[in-house]
Amino acid sequence: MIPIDEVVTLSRLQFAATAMYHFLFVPLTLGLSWILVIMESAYVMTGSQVYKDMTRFWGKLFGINFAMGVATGITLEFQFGTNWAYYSHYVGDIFGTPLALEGIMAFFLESTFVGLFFFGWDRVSRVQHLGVTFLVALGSNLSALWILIANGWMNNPVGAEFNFETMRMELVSFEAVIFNPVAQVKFVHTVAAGYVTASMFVLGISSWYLLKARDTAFALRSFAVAAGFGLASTLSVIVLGDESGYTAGETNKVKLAAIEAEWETEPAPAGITVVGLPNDRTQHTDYAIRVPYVLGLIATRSVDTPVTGIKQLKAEHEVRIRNGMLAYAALTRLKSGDTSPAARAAFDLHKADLGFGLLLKKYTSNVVDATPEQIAQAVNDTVPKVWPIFWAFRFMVGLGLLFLFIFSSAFYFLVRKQLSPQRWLLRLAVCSIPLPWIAAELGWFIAEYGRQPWTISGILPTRLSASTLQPGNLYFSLAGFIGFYTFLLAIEMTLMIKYARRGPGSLHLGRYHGEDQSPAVQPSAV
Amino acid sequence: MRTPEQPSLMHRLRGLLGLHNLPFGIEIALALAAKLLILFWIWHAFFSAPQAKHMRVPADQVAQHLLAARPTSPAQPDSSINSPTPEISHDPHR
Repeated sequence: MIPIDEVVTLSRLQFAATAMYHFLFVPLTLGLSWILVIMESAYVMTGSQVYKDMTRFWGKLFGINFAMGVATGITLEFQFGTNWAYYSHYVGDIFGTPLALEGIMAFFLESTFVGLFFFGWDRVSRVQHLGVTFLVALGSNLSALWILIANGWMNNPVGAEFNFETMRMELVSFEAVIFNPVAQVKFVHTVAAGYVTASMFVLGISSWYLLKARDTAFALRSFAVAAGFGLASTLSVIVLGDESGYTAGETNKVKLAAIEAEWETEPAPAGITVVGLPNDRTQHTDYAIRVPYVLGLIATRSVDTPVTGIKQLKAEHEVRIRNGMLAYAALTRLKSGDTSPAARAAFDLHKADLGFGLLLKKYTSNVVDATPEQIAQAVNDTVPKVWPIFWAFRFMVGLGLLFLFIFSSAFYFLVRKQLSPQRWLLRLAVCSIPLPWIAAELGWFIAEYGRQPWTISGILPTRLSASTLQPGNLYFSLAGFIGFYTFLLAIEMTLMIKYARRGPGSLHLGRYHGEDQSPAVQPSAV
Repeated sequence: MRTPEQPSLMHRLRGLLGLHNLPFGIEIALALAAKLLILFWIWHAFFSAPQAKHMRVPADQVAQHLLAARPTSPAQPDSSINSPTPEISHDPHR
């Protein structure tokens, strides 16, 4: 007998590890590309050489990240077919178009123009090169759009219907998939988080040059671009995060209730638990510090709409599981060959709850005769563990507020021309370079762990999505992935640190730190 | 403890391999080549025989997986890495 739970856990671990490694590269590409557009626009508008040097130097670091990051996401697609066969079958009709469009964006738009960005400086005019840089940024951000449309559909599966003959979800409205509100909010929130990551990267490295008192004119201008772009991006992330919470309140009530450890449905407007110790066993938050009204206002944008608590959601899920048992019975009848109008009508009546019925497969192979105890177990599974999401969310928000403080301070002291004495701020910016990555990974953890027990929310349980594999195979491939990505990360870190330490002197222009101050030598092609 | 004059292990290793002062483009090209080789090896070793080819599994097999009255995952002794079940390898679409 294959230990299903072990296979599912290992498959999840492998996908999570791969996705999280992949997302170490993505946010910097998303944000740094726009920072390059800003720097190069300044060069085109002013003709000032320092802006061209900035574009080329930060473009070099962008190139390292792009080269190490490109194609690291393809391993996720390997896993779809091999580790998640049933999930792949279920979503194949929906995912095909966004994934294909992502491929086109990534390989034809993004990669082509990245080549032109590096090798086109002496081959096209200034304005044309700026256009190339803009298309690099647009291509990388549009790639993210298609992936997030696919991911948004997993959280809010709109525009598709289950077909019992093909046993998969089939597209009925591409427009609904594209304009899925969850996907739209996810996209803007994710790319804005990427802009914050890149801004902190540029701000931190520029601060290091300023602390070392080297290349100060170059570093100050880079710092200014990062401070302005970072402040705008952080404010966007906060506003769009709020919008994301509102969307979750409408489309994914369980996730919202788990994030806020909202066990009971309170009279509107609900209060928010700022901190506390959520206890999944007792369904209570110990030592909670609460602020009245805030959650209701954020999550519902009204004063009279309640936020549904976990206990009430579980009661609703029990009804859906019982309906799911009827859907399961009707589907079994259809698959046994009885496709009469009565059998179809019985299935159509309850098919929206088929996924909830499938949750019982964990406890019984005979779903239609599940006992009340088995139903109660399945009901408990419909809510993910609360404390990991509760704390992940609070750490993420805390980091967001820290970024707001750093970028606001940077912007303020820059405008007041008082940056040099603020060595504490420069040191803080250097130390904060890795923090946006941590915040982004926490965000993904909240989004994906908060969707459990589903791969497709309300449709397909995670436990039934995985392939029938031997755990040993997964241990081997997991080890392979961890080794591969650690290798890539080590190369990325080595190259990044090497070229960041060299600074703009690595452009060999003869006017920066660590170079002979002789007339400019021929710069390398890249 | 390493004195400031002593080069680090990584520094010496890079020197030994002749990787010092490589042009940036060559460094990136070497890293990309190594990455592509490893990616190909990972695909070949673990993922070249997916259970769902072109994101499809035979509908009957999905029905069996979701609806079967017996446990959903029959034992499949399997010596190859991540190979599909025998039932799938008989899929005429493969």
